[in-house]
This record gives sequence, C-alpha cells and structure tokens, in this order.
Amino acid sequence: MSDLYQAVLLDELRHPQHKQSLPDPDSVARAVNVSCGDDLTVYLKFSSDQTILDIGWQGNGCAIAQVTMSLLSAHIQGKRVKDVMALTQSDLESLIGIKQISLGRVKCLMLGLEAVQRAIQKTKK
Amino acid sequence: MFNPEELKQDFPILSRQINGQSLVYLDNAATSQKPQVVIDAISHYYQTSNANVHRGVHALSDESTKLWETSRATIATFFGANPGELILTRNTTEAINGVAYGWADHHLSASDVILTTPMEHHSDLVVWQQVCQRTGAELRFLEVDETGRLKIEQLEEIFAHSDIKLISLGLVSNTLGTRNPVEKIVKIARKLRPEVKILLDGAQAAPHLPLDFHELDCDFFAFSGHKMLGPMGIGGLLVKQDLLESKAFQPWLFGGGMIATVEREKTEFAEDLADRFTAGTPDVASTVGLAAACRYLQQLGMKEVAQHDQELVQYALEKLTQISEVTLIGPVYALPAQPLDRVGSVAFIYQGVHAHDVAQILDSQGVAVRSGHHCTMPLHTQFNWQATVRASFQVYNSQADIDKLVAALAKVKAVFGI
Repeated sequence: MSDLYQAVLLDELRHPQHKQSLPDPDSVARAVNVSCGDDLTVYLKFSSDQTILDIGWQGNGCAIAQVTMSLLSAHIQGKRVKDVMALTQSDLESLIGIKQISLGRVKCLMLGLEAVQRAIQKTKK
Repeated sequence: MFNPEELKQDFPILSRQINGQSLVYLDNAATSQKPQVVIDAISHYYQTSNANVHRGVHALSDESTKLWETSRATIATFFGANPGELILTRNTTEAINGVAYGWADHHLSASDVILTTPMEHHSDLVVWQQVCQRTGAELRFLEVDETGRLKIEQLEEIFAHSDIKLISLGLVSNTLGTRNPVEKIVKIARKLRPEVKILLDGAQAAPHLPLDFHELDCDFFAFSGHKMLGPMGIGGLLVKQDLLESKAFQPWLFGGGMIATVEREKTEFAEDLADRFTAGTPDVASTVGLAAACRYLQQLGMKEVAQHDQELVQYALEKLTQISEVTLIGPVYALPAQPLDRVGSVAFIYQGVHAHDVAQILDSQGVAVRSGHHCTMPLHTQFNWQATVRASFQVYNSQADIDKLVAALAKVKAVFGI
C-alpha cells in the first residue's frame, strides 16, 4: 500500500499529464472496466514515421487507473508504435514504481494501455 | 445476548493478521467466515462417513444417507419449511435459475409480466431477462426512490395495467441494505391476483433475520449457505409443497437419483420430493456443513442475531454520518413510527476517492470491505454511482470493528490529503 499511494503518485493524480482531448485525432479508443465503472478514452496522433506524435486522454477511474494513464501518456509520446504495442504489465509496474500489483488491481493498471493499444489497432484496420 | 468478541474465537480465520494488522472482516455480504463446528462437520464427514447416498446396502452408505437426510431436515426446519419443500442447490443463483427452468419456462408466455425491482442482484435480474427472451414474457420494475426504498404505493397501479404472473425480489438488498416490505407486497399480490407466484431472494436476509417460509407466504425462497456461516457450494430453493405435489413445479435437472422407473424411451420421475429434485450425487459434506451452520445460528438465536445486526447497522450509520466525506446510500433514517428498514450492511461513497482506492487503503489497515457495483449495475447506473464501498456484518462483528473501520477511513483522508 505504501508503494501504491506514494506522494509522487498522488501528485500525478492531482496534476495529470495529457488529460485533454486532442482536436482532429488520427484515432480514438475507449476502455472500460465493467467491475468498477472506470472509463478511459484515448486520443492519438501519429507521425509519418510510425511514432506517437501526440496523445490525450479523458475519463475517470481509481487512482491506479488515472496515474498509470497519466505516466503512460508521457512515456509513449515520441515512441515508436511498435514499441508501444509491445508494452506489458511489468512495464507499467516499473513505470509507476510498483514491484507487483495485487491481482484485484491488474485491470486498473492495464486500462490505459488497453485503450492506447486499441486506438493503434483501429488505425491498422 | 451473545458477545461478538467471544464468538470470534469460534472462527479460526479471524485470528489472522492481514498486512500486519488484526483482520477486521466486513465483507460478509459477499461471504461469511466459517466457525470451527462447520469446518469440523465437513472434515468429520469425510473422515468417518463418506459414501454415496441411496441405493447402497453397506453400512457407510446407510450412514451417509441418514446424515444427508437429517441435515436436509435441519436446514428446512431452520427456515420453517418441510424437508420435502427444500431443493438443495449450489447457491442462490442456481436456486433462482431453478425457478426459471422448473416453473417459469412451463407457465409463462407472451403478454405475461414478470415484476422485479432495479435493486436486484444480477442473479435475480439476468435470469428473468433470459426467461423473457425464451417465453416472450415482459419484465417490469417496481421502482426505487432516492432513499433506497421501493415505491410500494405504485404496486396496485402496476397490477391494474399488467398481467403479472411472477414477482421476484430480494428480501434484503445487497447494495442498499434495504429490508423490503415483502409482507405488504405478498398481501397486495394475493388480494389482487391470487394465482401470482412470488419468489423471494433471501441471500442477504437468511444470515440475519428469523424467517419462516410459511409465514412469508411466498411460493419460492432462494438462499446461499456460504453467507450464513455455511460452506461455499451449497444453498437451497424452498418451493411450496402444493406446487411440487401438483407438479406445477417440475424438475430441471435430469439423470440418476431423481427417477422412479426408466425405460428405453421414457422415464417416470420419483414421487419422493427430495429425490425428484436431486439428480446426480448430492454434495453431502456441504449439506452436513450447512446443517452445522444452521445449528450454530439457532443456538445463538435468530432473534438475537437480528438484534445484534440492528445494533451494528445503527452504530455504523451513526459513526459514518459524522465523516463529512462519506455519503451513505440506502435507508439511513427510519420512516415515521417504524423501525429502521436496513439490514446487514452499510454502503457509501467517499467524496473525491474512488471506491477501489478506499478499499485498498482500508485493506492496508487490516479492514476487509468490498468495492465496486456489488452485482447491481442497473442500480448504480440509475443513481449515477461509479462504484461504492460496502461494509457488511456478521455475528462476530462488534462495535469495535466499526471503530476500526472509521479509524481506517481517517487514513484514506490522510493518504489522499483531503
């Protein structure tokens, strides 16, 4: 728990990065955690060289979902799409500084990445 | 009157430390803990009497059969029912499905109405949605007001405009804690349409209230053993004897044990009611365990159990209303000249902190509560609650446990800097 709610994470929660919709996005996707109603929508803009040019997000959720979304947004900006698609649970755990998240919170942790990867998948169709 | 702190000694799991703190278990509406007598009854059965019931000639089979039958009788009697009226199931959900397959599918058709409420657990809603799809019947709702109570004054009006064949509702809401006025509903229904069938979901009532199946005057009553100190995997459906004898209620599971004679092309089902609804090998050990739980509760006295619950609910409401960040959901104040109609739990929203985060911080303090939609998504949607936190009680919970909950909530405030 002390891991989970460190001051830095709560600061992130109060001042989330990229928490805004993007005008004219290349792709938009939403991910919902039905068990608790957490609901995130991600907006992406891509560069011609298959990197993430810009990201925005909106929605609501628990601290874990929102903080992870916020840190993930900052992390993937400018990254190659291929690398973003390869991100895993343990990458997100390192990103927010948790050794191993409890089973009941895995969905909270993964929700933002799910929305991001879904948005990328959409553009490939 | 029993002392809950002393009862804690009967439940081995309650001596556990969680995150370095003594466990305060307040997730009883999800499942209760089990006293040593229940654990012993199960292991003793396997150590000394295990054999398949019925049809065996040998001594162990005979012993196992007797244990199963006496346990069935203990469970039925606990609810004021005849042993023949008890159909053992895995849980409340399976019991409600039993009414769908054993009664509704045979008797409902297009233009018939099933009346339920928006506060039902998904187990008492999804089943009826499916029945409506199969039979063409229509699902209607007796609405719930802002205080978490049913708008019972609208019932006669609904009857006037719908061909209600089945009413299905919870006796106690697992989310709001509302103790619904089922006696009034049954009375109105019986007066306006004597042939209407009534199912009560007793999952959240059975652990806390003295109940008498015949006095309730419902046709079907569903319950789970694991919420009332019994093992997981055993529950029951009580069905009025005349519905069973007239064969209006039919078996929905078929196979060995439930038959009288089997020919190549057809089968006569067993006349014995317990047999007719027991297809396949029953879970004897869990039945024996649930009977032990019933005896444990009977020894405490269900009136005392109910009184204890009321004291805890009142105390929790009193303490939680003093926390400015907490918004309680469900009945908080009694209606004029009536006792408070809330049983078993208190659920709330903590302003500014998501329910999962509240539950996680409470867990770090050793306090186990549930967060989420508690299998009542339509109710959460209706009132625009994203997720709620629920503390729910059992006989071993004391006011000291609620004090620990309140102290742990102060930690939420500290962590989130509210």
